[in-house]
Amino acid sequence: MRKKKGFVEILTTFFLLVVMVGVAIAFVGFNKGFLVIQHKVNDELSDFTTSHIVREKLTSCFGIVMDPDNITALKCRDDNLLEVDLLANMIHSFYINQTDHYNCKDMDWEWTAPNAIASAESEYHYYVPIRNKTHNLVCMGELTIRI
Amino acid sequence: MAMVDNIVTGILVALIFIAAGFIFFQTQTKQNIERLEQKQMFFLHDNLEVDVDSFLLFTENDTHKDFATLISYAIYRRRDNFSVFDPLDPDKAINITKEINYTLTKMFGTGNFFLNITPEIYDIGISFILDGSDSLTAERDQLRADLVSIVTSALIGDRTILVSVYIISQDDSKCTDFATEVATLNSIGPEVQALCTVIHGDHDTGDAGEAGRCMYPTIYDEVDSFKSLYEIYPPYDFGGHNKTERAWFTFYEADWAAGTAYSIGKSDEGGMARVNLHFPMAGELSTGSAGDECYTGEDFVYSDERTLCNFCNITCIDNGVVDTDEENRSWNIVQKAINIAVDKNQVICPIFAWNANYYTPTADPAYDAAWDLWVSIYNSLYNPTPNIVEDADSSLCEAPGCACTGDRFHVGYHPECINEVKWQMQQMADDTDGIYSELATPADISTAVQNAVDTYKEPYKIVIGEYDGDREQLVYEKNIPMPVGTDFVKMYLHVYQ
Repeated sequence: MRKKKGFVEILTTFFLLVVMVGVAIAFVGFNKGFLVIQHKVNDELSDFTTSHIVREKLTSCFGIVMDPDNITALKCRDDNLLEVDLLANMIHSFYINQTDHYNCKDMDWEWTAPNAIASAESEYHYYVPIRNKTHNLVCMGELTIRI
Repeated sequence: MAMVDNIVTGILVALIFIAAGFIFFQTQTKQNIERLEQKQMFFLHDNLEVDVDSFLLFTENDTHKDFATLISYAIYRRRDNFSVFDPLDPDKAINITKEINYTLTKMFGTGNFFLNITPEIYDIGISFILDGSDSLTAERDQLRADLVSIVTSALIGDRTILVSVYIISQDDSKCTDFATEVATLNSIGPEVQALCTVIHGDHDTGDAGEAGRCMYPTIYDEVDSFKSLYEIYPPYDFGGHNKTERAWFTFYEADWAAGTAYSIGKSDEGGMARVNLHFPMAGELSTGSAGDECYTGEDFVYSDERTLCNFCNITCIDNGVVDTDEENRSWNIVQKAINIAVDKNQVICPIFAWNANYYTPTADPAYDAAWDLWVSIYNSLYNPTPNIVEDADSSLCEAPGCACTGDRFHVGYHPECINEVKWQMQQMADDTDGIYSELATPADISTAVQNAVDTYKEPYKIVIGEYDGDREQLVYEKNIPMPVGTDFVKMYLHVYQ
């Protein structure tokens, strides 16, 4: 009778240990899932913010620049080159298409960060004004930021 | 047994911690996802805001004006087809709605957006400029009868209406005819203000208080500078370019274009929230259809003779060109009225009243003779089968080409000028986005005015695309400043997801 009782205790203990391990595994699994989701959320939030910052930096230039007949580089308000080093640490690349709109020509500009190795994970699209000095127009530009 | 209990307790404690951790992480994740959704929504709105702000900066090809400016012009001018550089030059006109549709379709795709720009109209100004002579008595009486119902039909919500009746005359008692109607309108409440003013054509009444009621510049005009600015001068400038000189002939009663310019000059600036409608009513050229000599001659024997002066002379040539002195005399002041209307964003709705009741001829034989002669010319030109025989005993009827027939009660001066008068009135309407009307009978005045009021009491809208409440959409609201004044118009752009 005593032996039987000891067996039941061991069996119960074993069973409870199995349950505990199962629950622990589930807990770790769930938490890992949660962490993945959180990580992704934080990444997206970060990408949104980055795209906003980059867009603002770029549009502050586009509002002033772009002489489509003489494009050698993206230039900013004060005719200094855009601080590409700064962008290089923030984004993978960006692409601008000046759409065929009224007198504006269909033209493209593309820039990729010098140290970009992996491919971009996110893309953000904006319409931006591009001032055309030659014809005194503000052209429609499609800006694609890849992060 | 104790060991089992300890293990079970330990497991329970562990489970509690696990559950707590689970709840903690789940809550954290849920909050993060909510943050993401909020951020996504913010991002989408911000994205749309950037797109729309960019759209408003894009320039149209021909005008080199950005879309914000073009939209404000379109709302302000109440038309989507106009020239920005020269509002009166149709060759330079562009279609704003078409250009906006083209650009937004390029940005968001066909059927993916709904644009609604609907200004609110708070105030309406309705002004009548009436020839004070007896020839328009029936029209004035008819307007008087219909005035209250026309005005009340335009009352919507908190809107205010300012009614101004200007009678061009030297006789201040002309406004007493409108006293009852003006009092009735003013008794409606603070939302309606009505007044009747007799405006004069002379400049030397000698009373500074009268100066504001003269439609031409006077030495007292320190406030009404628009008269000098737009050169609203009398057509005859006697001696030393003294603009205060008045012609002998009472041309000013028929100078409805100068009266219109005066009415516009006295009105507040038009705009998004205010529509000012001006209704000049006449059947002659502005300043009259008689020849120049009738305004300068002083050798008339009979008082009515000067009224009938020049009946036998053709003063207008119906060739579609402003070429005679009389046509030019009128066109000169009509253009000035148009210019001030365009500058102040006012709407002119001219009413051509050809069948004006002229006053009954007197028993003066010379007058009757001249009248009959003129009636005969009228009939020979415009009424080849007259059915009323008129004063057949006049010797003047023997003049070549004259037949003494006609209806002296339903005629107007110089029928050969009809098309010129109509054309000049039509130009006024076209250039100010107004509505031109013709009266077959005086009773038509109500319809003509009501039609214009009904048209303009509604705001001018720019609506592009179809609204679909069932589709998921983002809405962007933007205030666009008007080109004049401090008003803004709200633009709503719905972009379907």
